Formats: sequence, structure tokens, C-alpha cells
Amino acid sequence: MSQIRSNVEPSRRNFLKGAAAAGAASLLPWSQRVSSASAAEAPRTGGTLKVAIIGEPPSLDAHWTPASITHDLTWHLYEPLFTLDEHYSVIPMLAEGHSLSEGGKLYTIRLRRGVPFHNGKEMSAEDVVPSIARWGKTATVGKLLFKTVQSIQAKDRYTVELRLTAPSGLALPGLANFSQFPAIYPKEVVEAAGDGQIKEFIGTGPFRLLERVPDRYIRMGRFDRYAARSEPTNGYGGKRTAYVEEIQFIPTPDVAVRIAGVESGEYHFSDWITPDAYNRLLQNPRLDVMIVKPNEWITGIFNKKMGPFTNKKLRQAVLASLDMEPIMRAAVGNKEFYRLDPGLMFKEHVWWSDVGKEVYNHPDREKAKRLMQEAGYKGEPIRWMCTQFYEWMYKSALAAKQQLEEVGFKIDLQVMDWASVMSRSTDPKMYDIFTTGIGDKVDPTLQTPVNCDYPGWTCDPKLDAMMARLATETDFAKRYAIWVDIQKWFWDEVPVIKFGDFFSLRVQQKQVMGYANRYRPFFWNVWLAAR
Amino acid sequence: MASFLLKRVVSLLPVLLVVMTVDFLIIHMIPGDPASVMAGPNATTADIAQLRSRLNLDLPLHVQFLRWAGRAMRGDLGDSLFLGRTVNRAVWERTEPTLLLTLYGLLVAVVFGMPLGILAAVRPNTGMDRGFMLLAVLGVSIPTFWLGLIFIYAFAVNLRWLPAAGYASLSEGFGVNLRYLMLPALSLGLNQSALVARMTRSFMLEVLREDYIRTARSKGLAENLVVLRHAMRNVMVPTVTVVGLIFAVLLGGAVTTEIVFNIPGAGRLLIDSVLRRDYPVIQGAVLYIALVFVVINLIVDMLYVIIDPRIKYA
Amino acid sequence: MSAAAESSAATGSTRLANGAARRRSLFRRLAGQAGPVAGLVVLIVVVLCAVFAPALTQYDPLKLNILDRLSPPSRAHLLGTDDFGRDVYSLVLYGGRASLLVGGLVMILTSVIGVLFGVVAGFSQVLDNVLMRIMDGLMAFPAIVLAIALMAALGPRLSNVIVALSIVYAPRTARLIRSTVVVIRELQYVEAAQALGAENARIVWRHILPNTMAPLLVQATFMFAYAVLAEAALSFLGVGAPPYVPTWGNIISTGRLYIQDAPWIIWFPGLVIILVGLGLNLLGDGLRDLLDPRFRSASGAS
Repeated sequence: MSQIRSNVEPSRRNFLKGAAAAGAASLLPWSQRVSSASAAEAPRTGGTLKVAIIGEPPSLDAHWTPASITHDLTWHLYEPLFTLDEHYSVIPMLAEGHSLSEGGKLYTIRLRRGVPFHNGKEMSAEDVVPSIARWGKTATVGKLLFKTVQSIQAKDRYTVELRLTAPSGLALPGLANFSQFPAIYPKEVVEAAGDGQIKEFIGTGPFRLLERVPDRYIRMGRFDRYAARSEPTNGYGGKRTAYVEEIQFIPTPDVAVRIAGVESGEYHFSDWITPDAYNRLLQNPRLDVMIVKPNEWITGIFNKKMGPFTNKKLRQAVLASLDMEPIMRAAVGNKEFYRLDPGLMFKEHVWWSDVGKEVYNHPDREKAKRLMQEAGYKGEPIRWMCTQFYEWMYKSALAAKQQLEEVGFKIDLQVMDWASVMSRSTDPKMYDIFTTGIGDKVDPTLQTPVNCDYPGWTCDPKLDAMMARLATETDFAKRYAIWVDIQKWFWDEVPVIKFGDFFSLRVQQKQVMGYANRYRPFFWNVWLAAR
Repeated sequence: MASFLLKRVVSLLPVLLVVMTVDFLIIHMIPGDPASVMAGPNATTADIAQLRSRLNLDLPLHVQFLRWAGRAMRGDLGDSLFLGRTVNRAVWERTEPTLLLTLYGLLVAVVFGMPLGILAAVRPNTGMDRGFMLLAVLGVSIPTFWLGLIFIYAFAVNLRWLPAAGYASLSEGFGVNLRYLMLPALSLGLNQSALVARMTRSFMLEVLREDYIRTARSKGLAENLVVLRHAMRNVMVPTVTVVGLIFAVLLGGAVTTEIVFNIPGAGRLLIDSVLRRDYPVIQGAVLYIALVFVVINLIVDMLYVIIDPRIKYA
Repeated sequence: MSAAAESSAATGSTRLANGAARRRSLFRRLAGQAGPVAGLVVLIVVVLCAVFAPALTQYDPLKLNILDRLSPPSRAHLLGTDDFGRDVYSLVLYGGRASLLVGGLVMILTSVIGVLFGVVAGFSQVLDNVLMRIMDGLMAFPAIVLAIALMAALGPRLSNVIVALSIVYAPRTARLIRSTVVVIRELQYVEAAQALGAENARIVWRHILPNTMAPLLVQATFMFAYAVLAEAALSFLGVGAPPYVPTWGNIISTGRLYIQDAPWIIWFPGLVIILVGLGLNLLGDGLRDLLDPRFRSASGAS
């Protein structure tokens, strides 16, 4: 069962710590793997790190797209105000610290001094305010947070005031969120961008952008005047040191090529390796193999704005038809790399609950057929969008399609590129289901499948009310109870199908040192040992 | 000669027109809405409509074509939807890998194919001849991408002789550039070397039958000398035109090879753009590739006329 | 096609004066050659296997059988299974249906279109200019590039692959037929027939078409081969048939990931493609040699 932290103080002064610690008090969620032999060898500076990434990022503007490729690249260039430590607690990054007042409605954020941007300008409140404001207009999580934001302004050169209309447990975790993160840009860059993407890629991060040749590489070089924090590295925060001279991110969409590339010594590091290669790669003495656990859960998102799945019974019919084990097996391959679990937050979190286990993965074809009839389904083809870009998306969809067709559904599987899936997912006329992955979330309020704005449009007054309470409540025990209710609602309403959790594989050359294997990869504090 | 050249170039103009029409039409048959693809997941309907009018997508088709063609002839092919640069720049950045790959593939085809063809022709209808020609037919039947896969795993992953994928530009050094292009060039070129072998053999056979060769032989010149001096001279030229033909085919074969070996060339740009629905780049890349093809064909036709004025054009 | 090829076809066709007798001796001579016969045999075997696929295997190639995934060749699965547990032997057999269907239909379509356009162009000066310019325009794109662009427009379906490849390859046949027609028209007996008042249609039927059969046959054989290879390449690149339709190219595409762990997935479809290509090329070569021995292997693919 789930853990409930009993020693979290709900006092206002510790509101921040409580809300975040609620999520943070979990067991170490990551298969920790820091390169061996690092004790003996001191870090070397220099060298070019070659990283094979899954594809060309749609943008280098961190606010612009939720694509994880963009995030994984750009957080070397830009930094946010807050980030997460290894327990998922929110810790300051560009912020010096903050205080909370006016009943939890006013965040006074103090900025660090003497932090230069890549172009030499010092970061100050005049940069933070427009950056955060832009993020609040552009990013999904930003928009969610800014629903309760009254204003954001600079109090003085190094202080920013974020005023909310109501207390929110979402504020700091939102500002420390991963994908589409609130990067701090220089004010001039934000102004020049207007309504479009930023045109210059300038941040405060340990690396600066050297060159981008689309589909060939993105080169980043060490920023010599980087202002590092003084505390030791802690999770994603603390001191960040750029040891390597240059990082080359090389878009390599074909996973076979990524694997071959690392095996043959062409690339130093690659992620999104298919788990089928695990056993073979383990045998290779030149490689380090790392499991990313937890990682994501595979989902099929129903279009609940129009089409057959506006009917709850049909959604329930789909759930009742599915035997998740072969689907996850087909998607992921290696048994060690997936887990069947009804929790919307991963098992490794304090938020985990197994409510819904009576419906999840209990295929019952008779029940499914009955529900189909009650829903009035007459055999109309169901348009299911997926992509082969992430091969587990396609494979899970294909396996599910077969099972559903055995029950009597007619599935029109549309395989396309990932960019098309993402853009079409916002148009309710284009699909009935689409496949995606839900990544690790810091706080349950950030769970996209139960969010009305997110594609699929899970909009329900009861749900919205519960989510609103979840956002404003501060006591962990109470929040947890609300979350369990939400999960109960979820497994009854079935707004999306959860197939299962899956873990990912990363591989690097043994030469790569200092890499800390976390949910999202980063290359500060990483150095290349002499061969 | 000059009038022939002029006539030929003039006859190219309608061809170019057809090329541009075909290129333009293809792209506009794509289902789905380019404006919404480009606007991205955060766009509102208003954003999409604004974008559509900015790209002239709401104008009638023939007006779009005229505007596009007019700009294209001035060298302006528009901006990529995805890459944040002009189509010209996107394609230009990819020319070096593709051209080098094609060139090296050509070298492989000639180096492997010509000696085989000559040897086969010098000993016609023997076991060696039949053997080589069977090999050649086999070579033509092997899919280039399949061969590339086999090579990667044999030579790159298992033997670690050569890199499995990727590319280093010439500016980084000729040697390292060659290292990356060697396996791709081999898989691309071996396929065509079979063709070169067959053609070289048949040309050689023809030439060896010629009367003056018989005369040379009857004069008692050593066989090798006969071959070397007379036949080679005459087979070089038609083979050059064959080579020119193959260059054009290799350009097409480079597309699959670039995908297999993750080489950032124009072929990969084309495929990636198709998958991303980056229309301006698809149009631009296809246009440029066709232009190169047309120019090569023109050169080949010219060479043909130079060699053998007997061949008339109907 | 190159000018040399057209030239050879034209002069070759001047030899085709007496249809029936020549056809008989053609078969006799063809049968005497080992290469083309072997090629034909291979082809027939492959086609029969594809046609009778359901009889040759008890597995449904589309049926996912996840628990058996990636198993090596065994008694239960002759050629092993892929990453979905689908039987590779069945996939190759049924994949043959798709791939050979594409090859065959493209061969027929390009021949029909080619003859149509070629004959029309051969007879009408005006249409000749227009049509041949269009054909030249289409041939100005490398085949695979045009095919990719067309597939991008039409969308990934097997029927679209057939349409796209027919558009790509028809111009070659059209040019060939056109040159043949032009040459034949100038033959004396044809001119004589015209002078005697015979209608064009009759001339086409009695004199022109029979004499285009030979080069057409050779061309068609090679078209089949190009189409099979092109379909494999398109599917491999991801712009051909949709991924869940088994074709040889698709099977290789998915098998690419498992080349180290399950090499059988890419080996067998690859070998079959080579076999089919070999058979067709041997057959085509044999036919061409017989029809015009002076230009044995003179011109190759373009």
C-alpha cells in the first residue's frame, strides 16, 4: 500500500517544504548509477562528448514545445528558477531563495547575483519577469499555473514577486517542472520573439550554443564564465560543472543505428535503446548499461470531445477487452523493463495508489461486448494515431488493435511521424485515440491525462473540482485522499487507457565518467576518461 | 555541334517546366493541413488561419504555382517549416555528403566493375566469363539497403574496422571523411559495379570484333598489346558515358544509403522532410535533385554525340 | 532510357518481319539457354509459393503471438519469428503476395500506358512533342526520388505504391514504344499499306503492335524487377506500404533492429528479393539476347 508521511508539518512557513516533501519523501526512484572508478580518478577537462539523440528537436526554445528532446538539450543552455533534488524536493537554482506570505498567495523570490548570460549580461529581475510571463502564456504547465496568478513583477533588481489569487501547491513544483520548463532568457530575447519562437538561444547554463545544423548535430561548448552554485550536486541542482569542451548531440532516429554507433565507438552515449538489446549489451565490456526506472507509462488517449468515445461505456469496453501483459511485452520486449500497475503516479512515489486494480488488466470479453452494445457501437472504424518514432508506441498500438478486433472493434491504425501525431492531437476532428507516453510527474496536479486543456479533453465538473482542491490544499494527507478519489474516478470513467509502466535503457561507453542516471539525462559533471 | 548543343538546351526548357509542374503538384496533393502542422500544438484556429494566408495556401492552385515558380526561378525556394532556415540553405548544407557519397560510389563501381568486365570480354564464353556475369546479375539484384545493413554489422559492429554510421565533413580531413563514407560507398557502388561490368564486357566484345583488331592480330602483335592499345582506347569512351549514366542512378541510390548509414545528405533530408511534412523542403530538394539529374543527362548526351555521331536522335 | 537502347530496340525490331514463325523459333531458342530457363523456373516457383501461401503455412502472418517473439528457426517456425512473434516464413510467403502483386501490376500498367502513349506519340507529331516532353520531365527525377515524393502525396498504402511506381516507370516504356513505332512507320511495307488506303487503326493492329511485342516483353521483365526492388526500398524507408502490411521491404525494416539478436528476420526476405531479381534479370537478359544478339547486354537499366 502507499506510504503516508506523518511527519510533514503543515504550517505555512513550511508550506513549501511540506508540499514538495510530500512528493519528495519517496525512496530513491532512480537506478542510481554513477560511473565507477571515479573515486580514483580526478575529473579531466576537455574532449568532445558525442551523444546520439532520438531525433531532431522541433525547437531549441524551451517554452515552446513539450517535446522531451528539446528539454534534454536546452537545459544545458538555460536554467530555471527552481529545480529538483534527488528526493524530488524543490530547491533553488537561479533563485537565491524565496519566502511565502499573504496567506500563501505571495511568493517573494530573491535572485542570485552575478549570474551572467552567455552574452555577458547579468541576469536580473528584468529578465525573469518576462521569461516567466511568456512561459505562463506558452507552456501547458505554465498556463495551468497562471490560471491562479494575479501578477508577476519585479520588486527590485534582484527580487521578483509572484502574486496568486489563491494558495497553490502547484507553484513551486510547476516552476521546477521538466518538460517545457520555465527557462530564464534575457529580456531582449523575449521581446524579440514576439509571438513566435525565440531567435537567439542565450541562457545562463554551463554550456552555450555553438552551432546547429539540423539533422546533423547540435554543438554546445563550455561556458567559461558560468556561475555555478556552491553546494555539492544534489539531484538536478547544486553545483554544475562543464568538464567537456564540447557536446555534440547527433540526431539519430534509427535506434539500430544508435545501438550500433555506441557499440562501435562512434557515439559516447545514447538513450531510448530498445530493451531487447539489454542482455547483449550487458556482455559488452566496453559499455555501461543503465535502466531508467521509473520512466513513463504507455497510454492511449481517447478523444472525448467528439466521436464514439464521448460515450463512457465504449471507453470501458475498450478497457475490458485488453490483456495488458502481451501488449506490454510486444511494446517493450524484455520482461524486466515493464510493470503492470494501475497507479497513475509511479510506485516509487508517495503518491502511488493501486485503486483501480479491479478493473485494470482484467480482460473480460463478454463484459466488453455487452458494454459495446450498450454504447451503441455499430462497427464504425476507430481512428487510432500512433508513430513508429518511439517504437513502443507503435508496437503497443498494434498489439492492442489485434485484441480489440477480436472483440469486435474495427480499428483504423494510422501510423505517422511524431510531429504529426502531436499536432493532430489538438484537433478533435482528426482522431479517436492516439498513443503517447506519460512521463514522471513531480506532482499529481501536473498529470496531463486528468487535465481539461490537454489533448483528449478530460473535462468533467466533478474532476475539475477535485483537481482544483488538490491544487490549493496544503496538507499532504488531505491531498493524498483527494488524489485517491481522483484515481478512483479515473478507473471508472476511463478517460485514457493505461497500458503499463515501462523502463528505458541507456548505454554509454565506459570512458564516460560522472554521469548520474536520472529520469532525464544531463551532461554537466560528466567527463571523458583517457582511453 | 554548337547548334546541337543549343538545340538540346532549348529542348530542356519544356522539360524543366514539366519538372517544376510535377514537383509543385505532387506536394499539393498531400492530405492533411500544412498550416496546422506548422503552427504546432499550441496554436489556436486563428493562428492557423493567419499562417495559411501568409503561406498563400488559400489562393487558387494556379496562382500559387505561378508565384512559386516565379520565385523559384529567381532562386528563392522559401523557408523550411521545421528547420528554421531557407530551403536553399537546408539543401546546400546537405550537398557535400551526397555528392561525395555518389562520387565514391562511382569510383567503387568503376574500380570493381571495369576490370571484371574486361576480363570477361577477353575470355568470352569461358567458365570465368559466365561466372563473372552470373556474379554481375546477382549484383544487380541485391537491394542496396540490405547490403548496407549486412556491411554495418559485419565490418562496423563486429569487426570494428569502420564506423557504423555518421559523417565527417571534408573540412575535418580527407582521411576521416573517407572512413565514414567507405562502407556506404561500397554498398552503393557494388550494386552498380555489376552494371558497369556487364556494359564494359559488351562494349569490349564489340570492339574486339572490329576489323582493325583482327588486322592487328593478324599482323602478329601480342594479344595483350592488342587489347591494351586498341581496345582500351575505344572502350574508354563509351564506358565514360555509361559511367555518366550510373552517376545519375547512384544519386537516387544515395537516398536509401544515407538512411541506412545516418549520413546527413540531401536524400536523408528528403525522407525526413516527407515524414515531417516540411513541404517547402520537399519541393526544393526534389527540384534540385532533378536539376542535377538533368544536367548530368545533358552532359552524357553530349558525350554520346561526340563519340558516335552515327547515333541519331529521332 | 539511353539513346543507345532506343536505337538498339529500333533496329532490332526491323528484324521482326514474320510474326508467328519467329515466335516459335524464339521459344525454342529460349528453351535452349540455361540462364533464362533457370530464371523462369525460379520465378514460377516464387509466384506459386506466393499464390498458394495459405496452403503452404498454417500461420496467419498478421497474428501477433507475443510470447514466441524473436525465436530462432525451429520445427515450429521454419524461419523463426519476428519481434511480434509472427512467423517469418509466413510473412515472407504473404509478403511475396504484396511484393509480387506490386511488381506484376506495375509491369502491366507501365506496359499498357507505355504502349498507349508510345503509339499515340508515334502517330501524331503534335502529341508526340507534348507527350514526350512530359515523359522527359518525369524521367528527369531519379526514380526513387519521384516515387518518394508521390508516396508523400498519396499516402502510405499498397495501392498507392502501385500507382506511384507506374507513374515513375511508364515513361521509359513509352519512349521505347514510341521509337519503335516511329521506325516501323517508315518501313516500306507500312508506307505501302498506307498508300493503299489502310486505316491507321488497322496498321497499328496488324503491323505496329506485333512488332513492339518483343522489346516490350524485354522491358516488362525488367520493369517487374525494378518494381519489386523499388517497393522494397520504399517500404524500408517507411514511405511504402503501411508497417502492418507484410511486404519484403517492411519485414527487413522491422528486422533491422534485431540484426544482432535475430538475423533471420532480415536474411530471408533479403535472399528472396535477390532470388526474384536474379530470376527476372536472367529471363530478361535471355529474351534480349534472343531478340537482338548483336546488342547483347548493350544497354542496362536507366
